[in-house]
Amino acid sequence: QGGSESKDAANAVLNFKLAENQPANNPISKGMLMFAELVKEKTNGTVLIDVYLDAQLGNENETIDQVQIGALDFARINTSALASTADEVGVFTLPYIFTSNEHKYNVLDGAVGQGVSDSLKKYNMIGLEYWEAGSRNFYSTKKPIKSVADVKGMKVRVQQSEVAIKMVELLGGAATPMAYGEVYQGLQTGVIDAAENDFVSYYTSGHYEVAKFYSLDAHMAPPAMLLMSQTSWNKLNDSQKQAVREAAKEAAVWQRKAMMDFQNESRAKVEEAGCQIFEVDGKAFQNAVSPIYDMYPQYKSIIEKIKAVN
Amino acid sequence: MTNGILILFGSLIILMMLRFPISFALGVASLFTATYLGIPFFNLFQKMATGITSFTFMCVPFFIIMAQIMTDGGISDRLTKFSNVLIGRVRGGTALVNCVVSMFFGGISGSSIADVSSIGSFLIPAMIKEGYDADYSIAVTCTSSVEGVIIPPSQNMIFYVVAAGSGLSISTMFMCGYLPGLLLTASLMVCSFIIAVKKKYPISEKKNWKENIVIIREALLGLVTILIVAVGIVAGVFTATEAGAIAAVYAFIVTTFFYKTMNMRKLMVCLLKSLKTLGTIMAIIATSSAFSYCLAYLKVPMLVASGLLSISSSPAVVMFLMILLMIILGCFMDMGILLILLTPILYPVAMSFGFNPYHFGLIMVLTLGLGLLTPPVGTSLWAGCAIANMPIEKVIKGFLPFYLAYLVVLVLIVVFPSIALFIPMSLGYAV
Amino acid sequence: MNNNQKILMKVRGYFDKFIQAERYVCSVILIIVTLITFVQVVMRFVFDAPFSWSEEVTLMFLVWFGYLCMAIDIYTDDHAALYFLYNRLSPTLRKAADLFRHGLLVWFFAEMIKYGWMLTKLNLPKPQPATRLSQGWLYAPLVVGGALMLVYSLVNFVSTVLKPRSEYQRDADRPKTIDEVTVERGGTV
Ligand code: NA
Ligand code: NA
Repeated sequence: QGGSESKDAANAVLNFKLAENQPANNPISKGMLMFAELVKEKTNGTVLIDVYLDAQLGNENETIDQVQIGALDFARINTSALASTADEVGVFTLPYIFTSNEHKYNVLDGAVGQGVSDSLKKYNMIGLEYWEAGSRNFYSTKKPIKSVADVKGMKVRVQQSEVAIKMVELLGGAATPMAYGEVYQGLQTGVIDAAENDFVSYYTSGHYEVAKFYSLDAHMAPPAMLLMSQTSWNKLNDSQKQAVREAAKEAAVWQRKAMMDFQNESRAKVEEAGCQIFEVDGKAFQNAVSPIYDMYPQYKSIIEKIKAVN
Repeated sequence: MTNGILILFGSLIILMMLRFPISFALGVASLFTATYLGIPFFNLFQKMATGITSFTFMCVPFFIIMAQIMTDGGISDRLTKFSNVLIGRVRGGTALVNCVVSMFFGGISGSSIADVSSIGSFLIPAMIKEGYDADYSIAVTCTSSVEGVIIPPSQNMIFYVVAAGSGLSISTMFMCGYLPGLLLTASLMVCSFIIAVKKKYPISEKKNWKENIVIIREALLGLVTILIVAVGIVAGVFTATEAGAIAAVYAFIVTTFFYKTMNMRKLMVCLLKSLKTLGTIMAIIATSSAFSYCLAYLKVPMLVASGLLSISSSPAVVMFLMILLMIILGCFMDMGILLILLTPILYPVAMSFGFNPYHFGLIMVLTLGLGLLTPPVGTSLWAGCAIANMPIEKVIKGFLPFYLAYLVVLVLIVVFPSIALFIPMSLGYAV
Repeated sequence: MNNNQKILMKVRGYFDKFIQAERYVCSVILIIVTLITFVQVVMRFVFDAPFSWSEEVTLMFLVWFGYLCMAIDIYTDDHAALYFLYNRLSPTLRKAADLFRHGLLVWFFAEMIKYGWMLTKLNLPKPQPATRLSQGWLYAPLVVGGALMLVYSLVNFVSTVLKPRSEYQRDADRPKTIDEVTVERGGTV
């Protein structure tokens, strides 16, 4: 009887779970569903992935823990959330680290991205591709941010993260960490003068209704990663591993483009609603925050490598 | 899946029937279900830790401390005298005072039981002495005490916002409570007045104006806490959590330096009393996070939604059924627990039927508030009976007209969402 | 009263003192949290210079507060519960229900310690965003609170084993105070 069980196990279908915190209409969620579909196809149905959207399996920090311990198979995580677990990815969350979108993907798809991804092994995780999660820009209520001088004295809501707080301080603003749900009222009542996010969140949160000035400074563009638990990875045979990697590659290529389109759609909608969008001199902003790079000596050599990529 | 749901709810009910703490019954039922479904325990205990780690939830201890300091510092006595100055000189005056004082007290405390046990402890005997019927006196006191769970600050609204877990704003939720709170007060006053006229209940004595000035000044000092919460949040000067902390500090200052009823030793007693309430709440918030995880995993909200949809696709019918469910469950369990338990199930259902999240929150709080007044488990009802030392059978008849007045308000608010949403909308908040 | 019960009385006496100390610790945490939040508003409102760490620190206190505070009610065995069936049971069945409750809680808290420890260990190297304090502090209350509650439940279990049925009968016949009635009606807030 024991023999037949082990034979079953060899042909057994692997059922995995994937945690995504965004709703179904977001391109990143669609990318995850596509990934699951491709994995099924490429493994002839031997690896099945159930995608749980809307943070049903927990928020990003919770799902990272679960992946590390092997209680969850996959989680799609933004690198800004991952940085507290894996310090290595923190370099991608530094302000103005990427000079353009092209530069960003040359870095991530090249040796630098590969190296960082490989470093996740020591946290019991496998990194599967870098995914697009939008570029964050400032938006303000009373006056537009056209130059660094405009930020001076502004109360800017930032995410509860050291890098974001320091960045705003270096630009001369007062960094005000605040729960996301309170930002709309904060902007409206003047508790804060500005906040920052990508076009999609700017639109879907309704912040564009109360903060009409949006400045394209692109201070941060941290990518997302698809993480797989090492424990689950070890259950795959070589051809399945290959299939999972290929599926991630294909889905990520599609997702990056879809996310860009989605950003542009949101941009069109806020423009239609009467928001003004300002081009700014990114170089000046970059110079203002450049001391931040010295605060993270551990990234010194990798920053050099990133700068060397064109 | 069906088996999982059976295990989850079956073990929960059995455990609760055997006097298991409701909080840990939620936890143990989740572990049983996880064992059956193969969910790692790791995920559940993670939820039990992160469940309390919510900045939104932090205002609960603050508001509870604030209310405890004010109550122990004698605010209920001062508010009652104040209400008496305002409205005592009409027929059934003390009954109307009872309704109005609960509105003011509600702006300080979110606890209906605290209202009954502090205000009721002297108003119920006073009313009976003045010649009001005992069942009427208890009914006025208990029903009006529910005003406090709708008028901010309201722990129950916070439970709703936390349990809904989708970035709702406490401030907006609070703003939705003021008009319905006023409406409920008005409705109960009309009800009390009609009965008072019919039964020829007495008019209170007149006080001289010198006394009145002292009364008004002391009461207004206490009522500033309402302004801290209302103005602070509306004007965006601070968040609900911060308002709680400021109000608590203010309450301590007023009671210590102006009322001279508080000192460090008494403050410690206040805090120790709050621990009793907070221990239960913290445990329930923690374990219900694990329980909600199982609910979501088993897709219970979706099943409930499709079940309701199979009965009727009309939002009105679905709303009616949900309210009916809440009223029935409200007879058997306390409202705070039910809010934490039912919100993860009913909130997604209500959203899928297109209800406004804040409007629905108010409906839930108001409907479950009725459960405080209905036997067999009606905390405020029992507290009222205990104070008057009356058996419940002799009291319940007096409640019937007040149930009706309460239901009228509930129906009005369900039918006209703008009663709840008017204030936040006119201030331009996203609802 | 036999010898075992005398020892138990003495042990419970020590525990009562410890619980009282725990209550004071909880109260002090409440004061600290209130003051931090209060000062935070003053800093922002008056000095336009809010602390970036206040939210993180208060949350950490809140989790510790929560797990210490819920432990107190485990010892006194008066967490909100439903009594309407329990009060109708015979003394023997009530004793059985009590043993079942305390026993199951012992198991639950043992699991809490085990997984709390896993979570703490996993999060120890992870810094919190603003203060850079270890995230392990957010999960350690599960271990500490779990350990306290495990011990309290064990004490309650042993107390129940030693409690004679006659005492159950006396409990049922005794008139109840308003507070007791409130607890038995499942009151929370
Ligand atoms: Na209230
Ligand atoms: Na009243």
